[in-house]
Amino acid sequence: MIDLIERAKRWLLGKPESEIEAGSTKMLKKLMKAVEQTQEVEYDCAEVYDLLDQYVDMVNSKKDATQLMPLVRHHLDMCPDCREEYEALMNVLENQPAAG
Amino acid sequence: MKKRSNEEWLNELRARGPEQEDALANLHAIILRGLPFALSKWLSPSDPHFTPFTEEVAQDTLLRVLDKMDTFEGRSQFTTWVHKIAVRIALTELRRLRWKDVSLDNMIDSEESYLPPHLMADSTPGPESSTEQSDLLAHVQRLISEELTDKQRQAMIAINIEGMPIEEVARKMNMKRNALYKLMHDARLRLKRRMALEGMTPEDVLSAFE
Repeated sequence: MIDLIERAKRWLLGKPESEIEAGSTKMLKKLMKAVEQTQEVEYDCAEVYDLLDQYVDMVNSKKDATQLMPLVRHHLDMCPDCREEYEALMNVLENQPAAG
Repeated sequence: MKKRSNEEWLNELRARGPEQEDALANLHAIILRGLPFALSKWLSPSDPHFTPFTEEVAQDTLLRVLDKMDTFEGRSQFTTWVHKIAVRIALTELRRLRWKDVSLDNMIDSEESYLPPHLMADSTPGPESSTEQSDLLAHVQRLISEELTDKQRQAMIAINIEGMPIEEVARKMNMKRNALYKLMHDARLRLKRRMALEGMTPEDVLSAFE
């Protein structure tokens, strides 16, 4: 049995296949969620990197960073690399509140 | 270790002699103290590579801090800014190491060679499927093939299916991570606009599969 990942790849590459398969369905849902959340204007990774230290300090001091910097929050929801870096940085701050 | 304000950090790091050396030594210790938490999902402190790796990251971070210090605008704690640089350096290297032997071409090629011919002829719908779902899948698939470039589809497979970091896909495509994010944003926007033109919304599609 061809695996789910291969099904999803074939679907994205436009291979002819009429049946519903779990792999392509899963991929479709993921894609539709991302399309649904897509905004006309989004920050890119460089813009978010410039603001990330300010953003995590806000989160760490219990300020409503999502409200104050919504485009940063949105990018973190869309970009796995930046989200990973945000989480790593938050881990540092949460464990070293007195650093500096 | 003495506690410093942002201004004190900047002044002491710009100074020469023992004052700068003391500030650099303290900053080095702060970076090394933060890295086990930053890398907790990546590398255990008990791993034999941990100490040499974090030492190298700390050194590279100090060099970059000294180089970029004039760009620090004081909108965060100075040490948060430094940790941000250390995290970027560390994760960039760990991602590179983790994905260095994976080729994008192989990801796509393996898809071709994986398909036994009889599976291509098997089009019996599964029990959970419906005509509406099949039609929607085929419709979105057509929009993808018409709206997205080969590069956008290739990146989408690598990022969303294979779980490869955007940074690594970009490296293998000879692009900057930032440029690839913009390319993928463009892909999502194209699909969203085209779907709207065809009277579809992502919500409609999602609800058909619930």
